[in-house]
Amino acid sequence: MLKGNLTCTIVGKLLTHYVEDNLDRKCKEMVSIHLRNCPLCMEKYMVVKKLFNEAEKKRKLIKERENMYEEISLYIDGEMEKSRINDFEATLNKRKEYEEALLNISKLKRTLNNSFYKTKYNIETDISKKVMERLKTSGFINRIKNAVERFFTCFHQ
Amino acid sequence: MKLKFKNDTIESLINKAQDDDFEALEELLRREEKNIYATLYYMNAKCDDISDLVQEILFKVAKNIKKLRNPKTFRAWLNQITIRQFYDSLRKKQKMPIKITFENDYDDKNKELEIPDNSITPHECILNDELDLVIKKSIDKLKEPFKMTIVMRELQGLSYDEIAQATNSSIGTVKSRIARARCKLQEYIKPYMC
Repeated sequence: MLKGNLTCTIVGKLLTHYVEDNLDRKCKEMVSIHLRNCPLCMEKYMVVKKLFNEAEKKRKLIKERENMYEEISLYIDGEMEKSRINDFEATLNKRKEYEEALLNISKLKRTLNNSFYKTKYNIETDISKKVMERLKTSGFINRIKNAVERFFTCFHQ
Repeated sequence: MKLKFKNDTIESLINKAQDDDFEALEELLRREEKNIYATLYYMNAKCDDISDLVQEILFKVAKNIKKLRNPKTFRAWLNQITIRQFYDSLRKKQKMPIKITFENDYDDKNKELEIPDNSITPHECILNDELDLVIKKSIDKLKEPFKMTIVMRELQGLSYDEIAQATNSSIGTVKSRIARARCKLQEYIKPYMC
């Protein structure tokens, strides 16, 4: 159906861009006119809009959680600027989710550290000795090479 | 640990190594080898290749120790070499052509029949504990930059600044990588934590 100079097929294709606000002013207006006059497309629009809002809400929540984790990580790792510490501790006291996340990250950190420590100290290696032998050999070979080169240069002269 | 260097810090070992003290250099390498080994292990380098890779990294460190101007940046410098060497080894493996051969080993009648050894490897023994296995697998699920960053932070205890230097990225990037890696690891490991 042609409404607002656009067919339902074209509007269907433009719908996600319309919801994400990626269309220019003229195009946006044309889609708006079509939607106001076409109940079928309006229904589609409502579904897409609802999905988009839900996704946006979820994305916001993830971002907020990541920001919270970033601040708590800085605090736990002793990397937070001194001027920020008091403010952050006030937030910790006020907001329960921060306190909970702090406990969780501390626990995770402890678990990881224990596991890493165990793995590290169960490794049996003697690589440094081999490296030193290799280093000494390569030094010795280089000295011989230099001596040979020097000998030939003298010989040619 | 050699008793002679018992009280030496990493920095003083570096200074001595730069003055051609081979024993100090060996002690320095010895103190770092487990760190590098474990880092590569969590980066999921193949078990057979880790020793060779560690040897290559330590050899580079030993050869170039005199070029290190500021001993305080040693850990970042060492990790830079580790990262470069690790990715180089991955690249080399990708480039290696598949070998097709007409030679048939089974024709050799004198050759003894080899039975594959399916028992637990020493590395798996280390991770016999279920939680340790879960941690290893969870780290493995992380994408490459997050994996390296969290291993450097939690295993080696590097500061954000040192990680930024080693990975050639900004402090902001390091902050967000650590936070996101912890977020993900928390999700994966939570059911197994008491």
